[in-house]
Amino acid sequence: MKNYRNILLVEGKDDLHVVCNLCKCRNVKENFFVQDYDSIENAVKMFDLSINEQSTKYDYVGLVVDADTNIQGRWESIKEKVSKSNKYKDIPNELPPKGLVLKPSENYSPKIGVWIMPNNNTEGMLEDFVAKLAVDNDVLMEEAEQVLNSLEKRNIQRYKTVHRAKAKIHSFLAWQDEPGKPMGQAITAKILDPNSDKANDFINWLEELYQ
Amino acid sequence: MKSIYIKNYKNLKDFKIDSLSKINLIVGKNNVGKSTLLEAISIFASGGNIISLREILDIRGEVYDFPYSLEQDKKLERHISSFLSLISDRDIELFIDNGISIICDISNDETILKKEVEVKLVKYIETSDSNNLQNIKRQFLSNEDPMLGDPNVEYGILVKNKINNDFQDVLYKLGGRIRQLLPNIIQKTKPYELVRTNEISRNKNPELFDKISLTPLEKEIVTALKIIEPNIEDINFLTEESLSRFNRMEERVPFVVFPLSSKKLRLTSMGDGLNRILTIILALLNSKDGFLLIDEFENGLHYTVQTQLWKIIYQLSEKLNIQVFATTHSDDCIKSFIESDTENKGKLIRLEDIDGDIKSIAFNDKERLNFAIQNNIEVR
Repeated sequence: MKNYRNILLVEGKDDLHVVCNLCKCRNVKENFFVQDYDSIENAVKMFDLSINEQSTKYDYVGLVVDADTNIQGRWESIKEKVSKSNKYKDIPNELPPKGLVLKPSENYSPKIGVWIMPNNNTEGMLEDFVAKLAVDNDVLMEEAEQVLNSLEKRNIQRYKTVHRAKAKIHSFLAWQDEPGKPMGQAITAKILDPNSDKANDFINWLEELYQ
Repeated sequence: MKSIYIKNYKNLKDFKIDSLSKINLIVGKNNVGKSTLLEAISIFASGGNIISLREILDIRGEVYDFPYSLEQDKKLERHISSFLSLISDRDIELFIDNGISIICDISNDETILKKEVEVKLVKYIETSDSNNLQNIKRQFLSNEDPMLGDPNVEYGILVKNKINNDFQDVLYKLGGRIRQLLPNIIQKTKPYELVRTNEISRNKNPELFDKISLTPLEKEIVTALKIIEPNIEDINFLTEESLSRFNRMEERVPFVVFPLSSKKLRLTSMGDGLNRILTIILALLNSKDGFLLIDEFENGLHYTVQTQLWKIIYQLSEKLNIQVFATTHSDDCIKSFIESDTENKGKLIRLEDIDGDIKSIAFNDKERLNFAIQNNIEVR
């Protein structure tokens, strides 16, 4: 296993590719290693280990997970783990809108950061965040919205309501030049705009955590 | 022991492990103090007995033997220098004022029991009654004592055993043959066996074999050897004349037999793995109701062999009431240790140097440790 002291823990491969490509396009210094864990439970478990038993092995540890349907619940369960480690003071009751960065109150524990997709205070997921990177009023993005509405009116959609954002972004990406690019590649190809203002908070959070 | 607290022993200046299990696997970088921890446990088990202290000095080449003709002061100097290797920073004042202390919680279900073994360097003056030479008075001197200049000042190693409020002291005099001075009290000690890193114990193994020979435990030796050589039928130690020209000694050497052959084969000619297993199993079988200490468990053993050996250790330590402490550098060893721990009796403990202080970090939760291993997280 590689010996990186700065890690960013994400839920799955999609998160990994989006983050990595976004960082490349925005010239974020690559001084951390992104690791995906196949599920949110495992990403949070790893986060927990990295601030407890493995705390001496890391300098900076970041966590990026989806809010899904209950942002407060998601934050509560992470907050509990941070608090139980007894290494961090002043843990806020609610996540700040620009993401959380916390220094440890003792030496030899990592500085930590938490970002809950899409924007730390609403329900949603990675795909909601990514959709915001499309140009404002992009006609195809609006069209995707119309199509989904139309399906839903006739109740013939097969996606679950919680996954609507996925249906929308992948529909949008299906109609581009070189259809069906995954989100990460779409960012690099500028189909989605990495320089969008909507990504600024996330980029700033990363830079604040890992410097 | 449920917990251990070590002060001033080599680089373990203020070190503790709050919660120990039946089988403890110690990991950590080179020189962090894994072997030192095993040494401290052996000192505790033996109650600070001079023989176990000497064994430790021997291993590290800090022997205190010298030619008979050496002058008295030089003998004393060598003794002190030798024992100084045990105290943190070789700090002689620390050795005299505070000494080495090892405190363990050895409570059982009925009573709370705390035992402390303390080893101190002492300076003292002996005076005896001119009428009654049997009546010896010893006055211990501190570092600032004005009587320090007195030519009659003697040096010794004072070992204190303290269980709850019960004290037992033993004083060994330095500078000359190391003699026990204070009354010969039998300390409540526990049996222990220390298997060192590259040990194939040529001298010790025959003795250990004799102790369990002709008992039901003897067959466990062959069971263990079968891990590597499934066809071994029996083992015994036979006398051979030493091949050295200068020293015609007799040595007892392990021999094994295979079925369908009357030939007896020297085990020592058969590969390090087999001999390592023999050493470990003999130590295990001889530490009933005590401690088994194994340094660098993985040495000479393929990972499949390690798994089976751990299984045997888990089984026999349960049956014989032995607490096991092993150290390792090996990933495979950790994996096989976890795999064999079907009843949650094992614990992984990492030693870390945090700013010059050695601290312990334990994986108290089996599930979390398993998660770490499955995700290739470096726990060593």
